[in-house]
Amino acid sequence: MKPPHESALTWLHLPGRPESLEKFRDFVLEHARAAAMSESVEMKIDLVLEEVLLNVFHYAFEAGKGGTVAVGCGMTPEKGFLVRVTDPGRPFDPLAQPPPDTTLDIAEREVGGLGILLARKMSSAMAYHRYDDRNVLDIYFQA
Amino acid sequence: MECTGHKTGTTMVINVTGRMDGVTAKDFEKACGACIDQGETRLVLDLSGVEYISSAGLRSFLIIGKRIKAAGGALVLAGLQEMVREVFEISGFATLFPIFPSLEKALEAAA
Repeated sequence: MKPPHESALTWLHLPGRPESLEKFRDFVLEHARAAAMSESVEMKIDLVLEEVLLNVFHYAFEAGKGGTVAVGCGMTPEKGFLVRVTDPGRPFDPLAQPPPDTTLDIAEREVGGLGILLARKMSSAMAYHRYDDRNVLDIYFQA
Repeated sequence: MECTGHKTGTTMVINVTGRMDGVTAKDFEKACGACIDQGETRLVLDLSGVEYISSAGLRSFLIIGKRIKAAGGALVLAGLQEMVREVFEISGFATLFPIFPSLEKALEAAA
């Protein structure tokens, strides 16, 4: 079984480590600009990509064992600009994590958990699937 | 990202510029932390030059905010750009810190 819109995507494969973030970012933002995304949407893509990729780099792979992360992007006919992040790491659905309580005061607020919340709010839709032992996270942005 | 500070009365004003992301947020945290270590617990952060913040930046704000709170000081923010404001609102951080459009108002509030 294949994820949807595979034929619409252009891919970049890099080691799943923080140093790869900048190259992934340049790659996706270049395609977003080519797809005529506005500057404010570009900023959202920038943010969501950082949140999602740093999460994958930190949690997908067992300590000491790396893995290759693939990022694909392109325009879909109906749902806008799609960024697909896939990794062969342990199964992890970021969308199934409980959201942090954003109403607590400063003494009670805990550090962390905000990245996925920001990613969800800054994108127009997100979907997680497991295909062929890979995590596949789809993130859509409307122009 | 750059942080430069100057003292105005009893308040330390820190001018922050650039991107506050997973790479640079630690520098911001260190700069503010160094001020607190020197006994400066009334901080005004001029964020008008910050064009981007991610959850890594929020994490640093929270750590600094907790230290200031424990020290009985004040942490006041000024000049948030639209993207930064949106991130603060989604995360609930807009209610954790006093935020003012202008540096002048922020200085009055922190004094």
